Formats: sequence, C-alpha cells, structure tokens
Amino acid sequence: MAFFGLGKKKEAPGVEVAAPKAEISKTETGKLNYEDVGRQRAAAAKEAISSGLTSLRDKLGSGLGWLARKAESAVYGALAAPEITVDAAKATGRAAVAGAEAVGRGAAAVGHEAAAYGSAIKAGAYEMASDVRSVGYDVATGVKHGAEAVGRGAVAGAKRSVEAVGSATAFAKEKAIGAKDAVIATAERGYQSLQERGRQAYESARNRVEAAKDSFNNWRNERNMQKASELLGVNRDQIVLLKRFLEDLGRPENANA
Amino acid sequence: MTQFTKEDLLSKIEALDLDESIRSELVSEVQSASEVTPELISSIKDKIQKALDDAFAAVGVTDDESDPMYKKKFNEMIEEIDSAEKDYNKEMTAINKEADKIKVTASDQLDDLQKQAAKDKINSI
Repeated sequence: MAFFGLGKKKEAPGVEVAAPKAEISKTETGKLNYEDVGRQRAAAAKEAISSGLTSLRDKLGSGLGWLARKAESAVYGALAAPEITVDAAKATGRAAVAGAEAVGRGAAAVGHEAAAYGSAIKAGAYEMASDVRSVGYDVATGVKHGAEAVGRGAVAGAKRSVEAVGSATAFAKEKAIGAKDAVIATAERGYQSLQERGRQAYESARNRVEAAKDSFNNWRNERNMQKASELLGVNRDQIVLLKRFLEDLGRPENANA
Repeated sequence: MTQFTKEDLLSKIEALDLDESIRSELVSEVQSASEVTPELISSIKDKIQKALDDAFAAVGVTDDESDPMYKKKFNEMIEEIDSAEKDYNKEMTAINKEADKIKVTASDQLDDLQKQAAKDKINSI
C-alpha cells in the first residue's frame, strides 16, 4: 500500500519550462508557485552549465583537429619543397652532361675539320700536309679529351649537388616534423589544461546549484515534517525514510564527487 | 564518481514505500545508467523530492509561499544559482578566450614553419 498516495500526479503547473532565468510564474489558479519556479530555475541552470561544457569540449576538439590538419599541410609544404630542389639539381646535372657531350661533339668536329684541311693541302705539299694532318688529329684528340674531362667534372659536380640537396632534404624534413610536433604538442597541452579548467568550473557550478537546491528543499522538508507531525494518523516513518534517503543522496561525498 | 554503486541505489529505492510507477521509473533510470554519476544522483533526488512533496500535499501539508521565511530561503536559493551560473559563464568566457589565443598562436607558428620551409628550399638550391 503506497503511503498517502505517494507519486500522485500534481496539477500541471502553469509555468514555462526551461526558463533561462527564474521568474515567479503563476499556476492556473493564479497563485504564485515558488516551488516549481525554483525547480525550473535549478534545472535551467544545470542544463546551461552542462551545455556550456559540451560546447567547450566541442570547440577544443575541433580547434585541435583544425590545427593538426594545418600542421600536416605545413609539413607537406615543407617536405615538398626540398624534393622539388632535388629534381632541379638532377635537371642541372643532366644539362651539364648534355653540355659536355655537345662540347665533345664540337671538338670532334674541329678535329675532323683539321684533318680535312690537312687532306686538302696534301696535293700541294705532301710532306707538310702530313704534319698538318697530324697536328689536326692531335688538336681534335686534345679537344675531345678536354671535353670528356669537362663532362666528367660536370657529372660529378651534379652528383655532389644532388647528394648535398638530398642531405638538406632530410634535414629539412626532420626540422619540419620536429617543429610541427612541438607546435601541436604545445597547443594540445594548452587545450587539455583549458578542458580541465572547464570541467572544474562545471563541477563547481553544478555543485553550487545542487547545494542551493538541497538547502532550500531540506529547509522545506524539515518545515513540512514539523507540520505533518502535528497531524494525527500520519505515517511519519515513511516520510522519514524518504527524507533520509534524500539527505543521504545529497551528502557532498555522494552527490558532488 | 560517487560512493554509491548502482546496487546500493537500487536496494535503497526498493526499500522505499513508493508508488509502483515512480519506483519502476527510478529503477529503470538507474539500471540504464552506465555508472552512478552526480547527474544521476541529482535526477533521482529531484524525483524523490517530488514524491515527498506529493506525500506532504496528500495529507494537507503544503508550503506557505507568503511566509517571509519561505521567501527568504527561496531567494537565497535563486541568488546562489544565479551567482553560480554567472561565475561559471565568466570562467567559460575566459577559457574560450584562452582557447582562441592558443589557436591563433599555434596557427601563426605553423605559418612561420611554412615560411621557413620555403626559405630552406631556396637556400638549398
């Protein structure tokens, strides 16, 4: 048997639900209803602070995500740049080799021309032509060897350049990743600290709202208990049980942990 | 976390002389919760308080809202709630500003990082 109709529905209060600020509203009978207003004010405050914490968490989460994406983008740019440099150095090397080869071909042409010249004067001055042709071949050979040396030098230089750029790329990569990680780690630590501050602010506000509500209700319950005890036939024990349970739930170590 | 376990709460709720619909609502709320949180405790308190108010009302005991002491206690509660919310909003505004500052600082640092990378590229050619 339920005690005195416990759980019986009361008349629906004529007040707005979830009013952001406490306003004394009236029931359908026109009577001021502090109890409902107080309950609504506490509920609205709890909802507001809970929503504030959720918004903060969302903001910090999306902020860190945005920074992480930006960091990746920045590092990608940093890493892509030296790779382009490597390509440029390789192109330079290829151009140097091509140039050396052209020089070589030019030298060979000079040699051939000298040889041809030697042949041309062969008829008129045979002995002399032999010397000239010999000189022409020597010139051609010398120029060709020189050109080959230039080509080898150019290739070696280009190779060293590529190696140097490769080394610079690795350094730049390491530097960029290290810098990116440091920036994100610092931001993350800052955000974590703010999230903790937000959580503490939420708990503090929640506990204050709860304590204010408990204090008011405890006072009302004591007062109503006093009135009920003066009435005959009231099952006081059951009210005491409910009241004690409420007080138990409202202890700081239970409700505000 | 609170010191209560779900089993503690369920056994205490079972021990109360409550209307069956209220009891099953409370039991269901506790059982569906993943753990006992201050928010769950608060919600249960609100429902028990409502049951208690209804019990008092059923025997003709109601609040006298014209009582100056009642108004005083009520206003103290509202003022404390207003104050708690105001302090909370102030702190959250400060936290939000700090968060914006962290984002701007980190963003600037990443911009500098990109600029430095471009310089490194030019110098290494």
